[in-house]
Amino acid sequence: MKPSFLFFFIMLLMGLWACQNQEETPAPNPLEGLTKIVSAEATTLGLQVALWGEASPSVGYQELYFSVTDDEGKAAREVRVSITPMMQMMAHAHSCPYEALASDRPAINLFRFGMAFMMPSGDMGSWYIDVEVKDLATQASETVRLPLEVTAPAEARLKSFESAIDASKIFVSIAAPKRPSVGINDFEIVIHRRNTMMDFPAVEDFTVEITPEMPTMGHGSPNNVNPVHQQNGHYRGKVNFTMTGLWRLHLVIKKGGVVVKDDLFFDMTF
Amino acid sequence: MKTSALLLLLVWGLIPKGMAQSDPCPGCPCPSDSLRTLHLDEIVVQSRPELPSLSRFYQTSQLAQTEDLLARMPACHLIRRGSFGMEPLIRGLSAGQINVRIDGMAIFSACTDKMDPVTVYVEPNNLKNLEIKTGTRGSEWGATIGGSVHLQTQDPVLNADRPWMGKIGTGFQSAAQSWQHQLNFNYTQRRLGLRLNGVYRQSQPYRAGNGQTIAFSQFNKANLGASLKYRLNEQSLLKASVLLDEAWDMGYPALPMDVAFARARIYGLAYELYPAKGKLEFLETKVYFNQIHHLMDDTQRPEVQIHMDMPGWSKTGGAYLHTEWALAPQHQLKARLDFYQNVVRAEMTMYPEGEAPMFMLTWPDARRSVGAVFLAYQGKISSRLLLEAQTRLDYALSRLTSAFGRNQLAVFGYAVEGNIAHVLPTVHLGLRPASEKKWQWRANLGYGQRAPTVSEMFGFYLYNRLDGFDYLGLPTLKTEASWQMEASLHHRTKKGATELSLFYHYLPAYILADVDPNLSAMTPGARGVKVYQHIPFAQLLGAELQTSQTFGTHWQWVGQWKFTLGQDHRAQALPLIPPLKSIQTLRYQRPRWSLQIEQEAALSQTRFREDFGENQTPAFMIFHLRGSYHWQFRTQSIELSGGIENLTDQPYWEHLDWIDIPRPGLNLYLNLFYRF
Repeated sequence: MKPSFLFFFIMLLMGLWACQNQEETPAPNPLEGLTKIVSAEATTLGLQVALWGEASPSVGYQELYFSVTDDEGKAAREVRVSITPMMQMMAHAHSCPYEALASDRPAINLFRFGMAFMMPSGDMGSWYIDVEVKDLATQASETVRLPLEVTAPAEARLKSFESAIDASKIFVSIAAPKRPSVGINDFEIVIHRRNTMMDFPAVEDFTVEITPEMPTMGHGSPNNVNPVHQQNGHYRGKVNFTMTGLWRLHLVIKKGGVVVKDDLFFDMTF
Repeated sequence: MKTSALLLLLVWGLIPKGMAQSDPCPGCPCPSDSLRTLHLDEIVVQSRPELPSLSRFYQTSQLAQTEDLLARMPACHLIRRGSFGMEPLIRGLSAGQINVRIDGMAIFSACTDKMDPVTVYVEPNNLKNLEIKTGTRGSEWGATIGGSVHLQTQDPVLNADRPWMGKIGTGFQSAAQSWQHQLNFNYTQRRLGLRLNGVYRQSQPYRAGNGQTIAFSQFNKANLGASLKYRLNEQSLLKASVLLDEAWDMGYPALPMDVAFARARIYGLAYELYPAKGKLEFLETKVYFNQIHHLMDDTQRPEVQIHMDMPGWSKTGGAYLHTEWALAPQHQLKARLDFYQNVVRAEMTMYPEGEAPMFMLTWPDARRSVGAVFLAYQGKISSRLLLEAQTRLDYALSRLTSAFGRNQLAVFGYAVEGNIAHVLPTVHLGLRPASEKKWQWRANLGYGQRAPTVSEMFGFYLYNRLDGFDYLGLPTLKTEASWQMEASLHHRTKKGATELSLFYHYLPAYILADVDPNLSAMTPGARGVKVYQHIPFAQLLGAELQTSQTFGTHWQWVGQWKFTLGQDHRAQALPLIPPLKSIQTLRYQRPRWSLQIEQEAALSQTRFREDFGENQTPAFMIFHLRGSYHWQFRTQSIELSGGIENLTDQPYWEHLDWIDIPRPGLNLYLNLFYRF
């Protein structure tokens, strides 16, 4: 190969390489991957309040987003949002465990909450979320009501039981994995206790042991990491799946070495 | 090495007088490899029946399978899981410890359970040479510690007297009620040769020696080969070849599953050069590609907890450049560059009733790329000594190409992100006297390494029916090595030849699976999980004795004994080591007909590994009787042959037969062939 040709060839390659690196990344859409579940207008404030989620609401723990915009869909004014999820039943009403979370998306007036719905909407009652929006400039506030349909997933993501220690009502919900897969999965559960019908504080002093099993085959998987409390009732560990199919995650929950619940399990089919 | 005068003389000694004079290969363009070599420790079997010699010993019936030939070669045994697809074992080493090549092409099985050793893809009627090289001497075909099996297919004949030649035949066997048919055609012109080769075998479950019918031992198979040779000029030619193999409804009684189908497609294109002068004597370059698709299923099995499908794929593409040089009179050099890439994937899907299917990758998308250089020198280094020196260096890169596969192994704590490299040096040195004597000796020394196999590195819950364990690979496995020596003694007279070989292998970092009590088995009913790992060392020791003698003009006796001892660092026996086996053949040959009686026997194997599912195998002795008659009409001939195998209807099995399934009992067969 002549040197001039070689030089030309190398330049061509470099040019191609340079071209490949010039792709510009567009500005990310803060609502990417989210679908609008329900929206309502705060008429006196002249603002639109909408509820967004990665999927339609279902029984168990999930993250939901509230956006507050003007009519053109822009975040015109700085506002603050507080919520009260409620289930209205025949005789009474109750709330569910929920928590305000730090925003994880680059947008203003997009508020992130974690919520653990305990039962599906249906004949027993219906869910709504009261959203109080406060205009930080004028200090004016208004509450809008967002009705929503909560469905029961095919496999339970939330289970409740009475503590073997003090008979208090405990709610355990799966926060992760959202989509289990073969390999190492982040495993996260959220544990709450019912204090009153309106108050579900996080439980932070439990220890949790997990044992995955394929009930059809009678085998488990190695190297799982028991979830350990992080904050606000969130316990994080690792769960390993060696194949697809039906997996059963057995949980043993203890407090100070004393068993709270030893026959809890969640099924995951993927 | 191919054509030394020494070897040829030894060969002449083995061929009964009067028979050796027949024209070896009518009309060949005479590349040097058409020479009829038949040497005791680099066995070359000629499949053309007009060349008698030892071929009648190795290939007892025209419709024998390639594995039947292998079973009769010194140093070789077969691991048997069904009546088809037996896996060769050379001096106690098998699978990744040896290399099997077809016409120089790398090709790898697609079955995680080793149901499809690649030796099944070349049928004996398409076989020109079947060559076993023991130990590091086999490194021409790849980094190896155990040796090589090289299957060389028949070339189309060029420029023969007749444009059309061929053979067609059919046969029946009683034990398995099996019909087998084969044909081959050769069409030739001045520059062009075309060869077609086909075999069809259909076999029912066979009847064993105790009268019991072995369920799931049936098989169906069709093999089609086509090759084309085109002479470009006096010195060079092009060769293209296609091998298609289709097997279906194959039973494997020693395994929990059968094979729904197995499909192999093997393609090669080669250019060969035979320079008329200069130091370069021969050059061949070839590109090739092959793929195998294999599907195991258990839908025919009655008591199955969960039905499963286990398909597997293996694709290999490669190229090589092979040259042979005459550096000076009596100094020859072979140099070879090899490159290939193999990709395998095997899946398992289980279908529990009323539940979601369960899926995993038992071979998790593994890819191995290998580049290698091989050099072999042979020459007279003094007036009395001949040196054979070989070296090979392989560089192998293995990786998992799918996230799914990597994630599976991550569960066990292995991060298999990039390439895993293995450098594999092999050295072989052989010495023997340069002069011709009645007594001859040979001494060989070798050192080799081999890379762990896909199963050993990445295998994911591969169930082993023999010991009942699920096997897991270990991605961090290093290479397995072997220091080896071999000494042999030949004795040759006008009436025959005898060879005794002794060998010893010291294998540091021997790869052997061991139980991991922390892991739970996946397969229903499995006893636990074994993980491949290195043991400090293993040793193999053994001997082979083979003799061929003629008595008068009509009688020939061929005797063979082979024996291997294997033990690990704790002086425990290694698994899958056969006991002493002997095969004796006495043949009476007339110009038109022949009669042959054979005795096959093995000692009881008392050195076995219970933790690998083995038990004591009883000794056995069986007899076979064979005969043939042929009619010649000018250029055409008809041959009728038949025989009775296992004359006394013994129920018997060999030590390498998994789970003691008895072999066929009394078997009558009859073959009819027409040649033109």
